[in-house]
Order: sequence, then C-alpha cells, then structure tokens
Amino acid sequence: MTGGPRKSMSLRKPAAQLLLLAALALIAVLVSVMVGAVSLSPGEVFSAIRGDGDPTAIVIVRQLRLPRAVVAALVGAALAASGATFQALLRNPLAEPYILGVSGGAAVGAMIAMVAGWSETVSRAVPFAAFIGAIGAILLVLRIAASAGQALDTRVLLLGGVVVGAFFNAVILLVLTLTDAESFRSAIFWIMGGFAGATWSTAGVLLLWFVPGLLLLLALGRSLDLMSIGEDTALYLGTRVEQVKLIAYISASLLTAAAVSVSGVIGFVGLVVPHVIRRVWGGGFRFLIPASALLGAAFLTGADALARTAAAPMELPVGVITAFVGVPFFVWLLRRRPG
Amino acid sequence: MNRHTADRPASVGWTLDTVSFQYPAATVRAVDHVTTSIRPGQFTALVGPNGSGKSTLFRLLLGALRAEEGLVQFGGRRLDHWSRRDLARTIGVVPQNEEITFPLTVRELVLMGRYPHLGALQALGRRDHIIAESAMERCDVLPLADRPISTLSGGERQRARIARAIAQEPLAFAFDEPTIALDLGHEMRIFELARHFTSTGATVLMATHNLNLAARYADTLVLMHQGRIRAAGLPADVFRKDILENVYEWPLEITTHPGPGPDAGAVQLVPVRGGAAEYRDEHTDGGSEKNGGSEKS
Repeated sequence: MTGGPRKSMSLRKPAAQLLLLAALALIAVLVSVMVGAVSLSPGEVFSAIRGDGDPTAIVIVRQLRLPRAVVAALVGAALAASGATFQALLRNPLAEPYILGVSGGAAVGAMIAMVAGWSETVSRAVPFAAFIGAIGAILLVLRIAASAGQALDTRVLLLGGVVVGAFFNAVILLVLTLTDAESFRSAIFWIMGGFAGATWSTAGVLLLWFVPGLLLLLALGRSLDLMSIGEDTALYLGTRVEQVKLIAYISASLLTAAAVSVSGVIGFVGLVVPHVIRRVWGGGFRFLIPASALLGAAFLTGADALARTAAAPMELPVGVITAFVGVPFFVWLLRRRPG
Repeated sequence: MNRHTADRPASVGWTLDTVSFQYPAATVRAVDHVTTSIRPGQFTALVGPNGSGKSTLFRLLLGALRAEEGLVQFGGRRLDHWSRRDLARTIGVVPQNEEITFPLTVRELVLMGRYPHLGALQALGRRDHIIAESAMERCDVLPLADRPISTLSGGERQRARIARAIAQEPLAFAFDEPTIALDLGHEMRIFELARHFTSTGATVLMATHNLNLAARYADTLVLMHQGRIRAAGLPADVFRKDILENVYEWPLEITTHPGPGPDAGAVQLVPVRGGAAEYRDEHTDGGSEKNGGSEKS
C-alpha cells in the first residue's frame, strides 16, 4: 500500500483503487438498508427493490432506508469532494467545507424558516431556506474578498469566510435565545445534522447540484494540483488562476450548500476523508476528488447506519458517530505514517 | 562558449519599452520607466538591492503583473497577446516561493512541468515520463524521484524545481533568486546548470543577490536601483566602484578573479569590512560619489 509505484506510473492502479472505493460505497449502502428495527437479508433487500416479497419490507426499503442511504452517500461525497477542493484552494490542510461560512448561512436560513413557521405550511421549506442562506453566505464572502482588491486573494477569502461564519453563529444564538421551546428543539436537531426524513425528492434535489459541481471540480483537478503549490507556480504552468479560483470556490460551496440544506451540519467528513486518501494512496486531485467522494459516501452512509442502530430505538446524531469513529482512526493513521 | 549549437530552434528574448508599475497602496513606482532588452540565448542576471524592483520587474516579464505604462514584448509579440498556456510552454519559471502543503514526490513535482503540454482530459503519457526522467537526471535528482519533497534538502528541492522547468521544454528559463539559503556547492551547481542551458540555445534570466557569481557566469548584468535600471551591460561595465557603492550603500573594492579556471580575470567585488558608519557619514555629509575605502587608502 505504501511503497508501490505512484499512480502516475500506471493507469490501471488508480482505476482499481476507485473501483475498490466504489464497491465499498455500494456495500455501505446495502448494509445501511439491511440494518434497523427490522433487519433484512441482502436477498430480502434486493427483492424489495424489485417490488417482490413482503409489502412491509418493500415500504421500508423503497421509501425509508434506500432514499436515506442514498442521501447520506451523496452528502458524504459532496462534503469530502468540497473539503479536498478547499484544502487545495486555500493551501491549508485544516480547511473543511464549512470553513467559508456556508454552514452558518444555511443554519440562519433554516432557522428563519422554522421560527417563522413556514416549515409547517410549506413542505421542504427548511432545506430551501437553508440553501438560500448558504448561497447568501457564498455571495457575501465573495463580495468581501473582491472588495479587498482586484484579484481574489485566498487569505482574504479565508478571513472573510471565518468572519461571516462567526457573524452567522451569533445570529443563530440570538434567534435561539429569543425563540420558543419547540422551535428551539427543532432548530437544535437541524444544527446537529442527520438524515431523518430523507426522501427520494431530497436525493433528487441533491443530485441536481452534485453532478455539475463534481464534474467541474474533476475538470479542474490538474489546476488544483498546481494551485496547492502556489498561485504563481500555477500561473507559470499555464493556469488561468483567477478563473480557476472562482469556479472551484463556487462549485465547492454549492456542493456544501446542497449538502447542508438537506442534512444540517455534519462535521469531520470533509476534513478527514481527503487526508485519508492522500496518506494511503497519495496522488493528484484528478484522483483525489473522485476517491474522496467515494470514500466520503461510504463513510457517511456507514456512520448513519451506526447512528440509527447503536442505541436503538434512540437515534444518535450522525456527527457523533463520524467523530467517534473518525478521530481515533485518523490519529492512528497520523502516527503510523509520519510526515 | 559555443552557443546556438544544439538542435533547438532560435531562442526568444524580451524587450521592455518605458515600462512602469506601481502597487496599489504604494507611494512610489516599484518599476519606473524601464527600457531594456533581455537578449535571446544569453544568460542575463538581474541584480540590485532588496526593494530595488527586481522581483516586480521579474513578475512583469512573466505576465504575473501587467505593466501600467509601456510595452513588454516577448519573442517579438506583446506579452499580453500570449496565452498562459503558450507562455508556459515557452518559459520555464522557478518562482521564489512555493509552499508544498500536501505530500508530493519529486517525480510528481517534475511531471507538473508537462501539464502545459497536455489537453484538458489528456493523461500523462510515456513520452511525458521519459522527458521528466531526463530532466531529473540533468539536475541530479533522479535517485530522489520517489522521495517526498518534504524530505529533501534545500539544494535538492531547488534542483527538483529546476527539473520541473526543464520538463516544460521551454526556450527560456526564469529563476527568481534560486540560490537563496543554499550552501556554496549547491549554489555553484545551480549557476553551472543555468550556464549550461544557454549552451543549448536557451535564454536564461536569473534574479540573484550573488553579484560575484553573476559576474562570472552571466553574459549581461542588469542592475536595478529604486525601480530604475542603474546600469546594464557586460559585467565589467556594470562593476564600477562608484555605482555599486552608491546602489548598495556600502564601501567596496573592485578586483579580478585570480583564477585558475575559465573565468580568471573576471571582475569581482570585495565589500570593505566595518564600512557602515563611514559610508553613512560620507553619504549624509556630502552625498558625494567618492566614498568608502578610507581604511585602505
């Protein structure tokens, strides 16, 4: 795993690694559909998907567990891919999808929808408002970064994002303080993040953002390799730096915004998954982005399955699982391969 | 030196016509009405004290900054008419600052020099790997090919970056202070490499603080001071006591290289020890052109 030829030496090897990760993600989805209050065998799952067998199993699989697993996989993939992008763009290994205030904007949007009571009258009002809030945060950060100079300075982008995020968090605290107990509870649940209530339409909306966002990031892979060394180097190696920065920032932010709007803020996936890929296999962004997306999908789907079942009938916040599983694993990985 | 002998096509140079640039927050121009040329197939060293505008001029020449006034031409065309990609295929640049944030091997770094030659969806091919390996060989980093950059010494790292520039297969090389923080042996290797590039017909532009090595290796020196070109030409013409003392604000003596070696007789300079107080006194007293070296006289 460690000393083998790098991906550049052979085309087959990274393809095999991606296939392995894709299989892992599919297995995670399958296991996630199998486990729960009623456990199902793989055979039962497959016949339920085809519409055969026990009507209860069909409902559980088709309307509850499968859409939920698919949404978890898409969110995991989106967070991991945008985390990898922000790390390259900001040349900061601590960057994660929420670093530029997108989560704060989404939370403010969601909270306004809850407190105003729209969530009871309009279906999907909360994710929609969260998405609008996230877009607002993206535009605000871009505006701040652009007003500081004619070019998009990544340091200003980072500071702008942190400041905007801090401001939104203050707004959230203010709203929480002023609101009634019931809105408070639902707001806290939203902030904790999770996939309860995920439907096929949730998955559909996610996919709408996920596919173009991921394709754009894949197309920018080589430019991101260069940008992660330095903007001057990228320029001198033929990259149109300002364009790449803008497209990468918007794509990664939209992926994050879509993920946050349907599942709240789920920490750790976007930070750690790209590092795991880099440490185990290395390789450039053309490999790192799809590999991170697949591993992120597997990881978050598995974490959600565990969150549903570990303390059943109670459901744990999935962020607790991602941290409890992810942190020790990451520490182990850091110690195993220094540097 | 036998230049223009290799199989490369005619190399390319720069011309600047009254080029000026001022940073947004600055009160004076960083580069002020500079007119000069960097001749094809030659080794040109860009020298001058800290803050003299060297780095700004360097970035103007590479299109990282756009001149506010004047015209920068490269290879007979306005620089802003070149696409970034064509420039990257023609000039191999080693900028001063690079931060390797994430694990990267020497081979991966050098292969990045092939990126300007690849289509958007095209993968690195066999030819790219061969070119990268021969570039690493020329810079003596082939044995380090699969080592992470973070484990290399400063000199090895710099040679890996030069190998990346070679892998671009450019007609011109531009190095921004490539020997900073390097020991003597590593510094010499880099000047030798740069000299070697001109022997294959390439143009070399190097910003450097090592005046003595610049005088021995470069064909032309361009001396910057306060955003302007103070002197330019053969090392022997630029190495004038009055000019250099005034530009560097330190007393110095001009001498010649004693040999042995190919550049015996080349001009060299020796800064005078303990000259700070003297220079400042004379400088502020009269601002005369004649100063320093009183210990000796």
